[in-house]
Amino acid sequence: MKLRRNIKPLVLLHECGTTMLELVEGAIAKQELQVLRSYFRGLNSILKEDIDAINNGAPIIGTHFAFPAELFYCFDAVPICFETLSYLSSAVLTNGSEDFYDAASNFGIPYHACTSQKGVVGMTLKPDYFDVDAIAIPTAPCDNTIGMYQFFSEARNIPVIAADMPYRHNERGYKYYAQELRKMVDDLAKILHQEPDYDKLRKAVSYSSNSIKYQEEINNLRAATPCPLESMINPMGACVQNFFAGRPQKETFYKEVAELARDRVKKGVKAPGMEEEIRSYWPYMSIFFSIEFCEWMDRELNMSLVCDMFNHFFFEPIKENATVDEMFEGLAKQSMEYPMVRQSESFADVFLDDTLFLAKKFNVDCAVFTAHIGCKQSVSVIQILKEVLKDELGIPLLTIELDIGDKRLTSIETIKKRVREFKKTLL
Amino acid sequence: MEAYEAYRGYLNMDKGDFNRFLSMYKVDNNTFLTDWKNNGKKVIGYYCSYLPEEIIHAAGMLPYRIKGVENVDFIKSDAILSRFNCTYVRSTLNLILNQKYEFLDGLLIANTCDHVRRIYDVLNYQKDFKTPLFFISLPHLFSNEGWNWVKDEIYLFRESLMKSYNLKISDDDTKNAVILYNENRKLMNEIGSLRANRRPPLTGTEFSKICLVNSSIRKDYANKELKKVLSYLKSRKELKDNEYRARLMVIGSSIDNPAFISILEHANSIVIADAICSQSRSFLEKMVWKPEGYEKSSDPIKELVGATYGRVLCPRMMNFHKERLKQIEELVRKHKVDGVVLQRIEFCDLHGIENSFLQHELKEQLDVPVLNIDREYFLGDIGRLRTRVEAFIEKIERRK
Ligand code: SF4
Ligand code: SF4
Repeated sequence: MKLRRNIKPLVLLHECGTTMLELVEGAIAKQELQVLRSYFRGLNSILKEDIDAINNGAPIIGTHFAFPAELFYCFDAVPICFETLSYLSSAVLTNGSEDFYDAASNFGIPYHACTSQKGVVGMTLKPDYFDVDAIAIPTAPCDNTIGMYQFFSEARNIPVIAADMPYRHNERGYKYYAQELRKMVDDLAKILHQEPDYDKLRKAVSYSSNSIKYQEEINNLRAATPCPLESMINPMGACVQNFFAGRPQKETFYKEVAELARDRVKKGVKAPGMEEEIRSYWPYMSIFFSIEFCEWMDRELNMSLVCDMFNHFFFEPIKENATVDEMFEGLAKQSMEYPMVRQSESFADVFLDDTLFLAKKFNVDCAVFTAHIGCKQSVSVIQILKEVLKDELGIPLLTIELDIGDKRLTSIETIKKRVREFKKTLL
Repeated sequence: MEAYEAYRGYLNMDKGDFNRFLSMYKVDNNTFLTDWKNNGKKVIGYYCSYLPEEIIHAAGMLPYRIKGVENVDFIKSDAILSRFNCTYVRSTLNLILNQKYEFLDGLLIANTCDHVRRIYDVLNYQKDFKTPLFFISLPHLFSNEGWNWVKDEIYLFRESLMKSYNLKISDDDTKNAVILYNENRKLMNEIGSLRANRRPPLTGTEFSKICLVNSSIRKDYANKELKKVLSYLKSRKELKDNEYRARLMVIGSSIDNPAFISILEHANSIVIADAICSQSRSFLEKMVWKPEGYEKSSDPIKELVGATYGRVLCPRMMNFHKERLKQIEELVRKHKVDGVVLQRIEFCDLHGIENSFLQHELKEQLDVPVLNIDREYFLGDIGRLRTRVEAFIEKIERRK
């Protein structure tokens, strides 16, 4: 196969990430921003390894946040999650992803389509900027996934293989999806001209399985008051879940964060700078385009974002000695229960039950819903969620209409103002 | 129903009968529906072309496609949904919450798009909404496994219908419904094909009303009427002495409001083809996808999988854009289309995104002029829309 070799966004992100880490390490006291440091250490090393592997001829597979990236490690290939790439760029690059969104709009993609894919759509429309060799994704959890990945196959001529994720998340559904993943690996093997190596898959699975244990511990520790972790763990965790999947960096990141949280809870100390007057749960996502928003919440508003939808996991690790079939079944089940997929690509009962469960578990005073213009299935349930939270737990919910990845729809100042005013009503 | 049929007898259709038939697209004029309910019979609403209406028919019920055209405000629906939801879904929910659909005995929904599937959830949480809800889970790919999945879903739906209403739906009932629906598709196709004539005997507005009526009445009754419609249209005097200025094809989000088509036709143009779910996409006869080794089966449920999953071409199916484009291309050629109107309801991601690449493909591969419109489900800003259509017709004329 003829490989495509334009990877400017990865190079740019690596440069920005390296500079950011150097700045933090050189200029900020050691006990500050520890989660951020762990995150950038992991991210920078992954980007470096990826860039080197690509330069040495590894094919690039574009993939999706709702997909078990571990699977790709049975090949010599570099998986890049498109949704993470769009939003990492919106958070880290000086101009965010706005140029890419505009390029997508100029092509004709509607303004209300989800920026999580629109960013990469725009990147592939810029000449010699970003290409991948193949794309492997699920058909879930939304219309944007369905529509936007057809853009790549039809308008960019990139081979797109999709695994059909069923709407029913039950044994019948898991079995169906495991078969779909199997077919996908077979199809990828043909495209890449490589045989799948299931020992390598097992290794990738073990990194993710080990990190699940730490993730669980972190989630239990976060229930403590005050919350031992800075709010920024949430947007970062959303990235780590997929971008770090199947890599040792995932285990290392969650191990470091778990140690930090354990230590702080033991000593009864809070995250630096945080005065937790109000605890909040975000049933959807936090904000991706502003890297400082969570710090503002912690340090200026004194309101913690204890957890969001992306940072609690409702699935079991895959057992170490699993057979190949069991690994596929486990990955199918896990990815159907991924944060957001679980709540989005099925009946709303799960969304509601999880929200109630987590709001209770984290003992929060309120909830904030980021009504993301791209995400039609989630904005459709805000009102019922609001009622259920009020009726069952007496917790108020603030809704802010915005674009998670584009500051031009609702500016960060407006968002802060809304949250600040909401907080006043709670005191 | 009997009263209506007695009055209509089996006479050939005249202009008055034809217009009366067309007027049934409005609920209040749907005399069939009124008689049906007066006779104590049941109606199941449904939201999409993929759903196996045949099962509802076989249960002795009327499958009724949900429309929102008679909605006038969004007061109730907007207290629940978001302004980022499409106005078709908001209109239909508003009508449901205003009891305008109280004639429904059940409602069948699928995961067709993100907006529609959430209607199931929000209704499920309305304390005073007691109408039984049914759900069918549909794949987003054409595949052998998807085919079997749909087959199981149809079985499950048939079972839940029998259980909920304490009735029996036999294989023979199902088989008869399948035969009736196949005949219905054939008739609708024949009527649709008349639009390929150089001087079509019906306007696009009339055709859209026929489609709307057809999805609001029982198919045994519909088939009788459609035969008359067909013979009436075949013998109908040509609508115009002169050629139309432009022959248009419409593609995109569902259109339940004939007034929208009539705006496209206002500048002496005519809509003679479409790729729209509420119109041709719901009855094009040919199966577009079959599993490997497919053979016609005596199991009516298998036939039904072919008639729904295997036949409808909608952007919600991820691996079939090229087939959709091919279907459009065939219609453009067969119906001698001068220009294509791509339209989508605001916030409709599926059609909005697909239209974005169709726009390029139609221009580059078929060299056909394209007008790309964002619109609301209700008719707003008519003046602007008319101006854009007029400019588009002029552009087409300049090319001729
Ligand atoms: S945010 Fe919503 S619309 Fe965007 S990718 Fe996620 S599920 Fe899809
Ligand atoms: S117009 Fe689009 S968003 Fe609205 S119901 Fe139809 S497919 Fe869904």
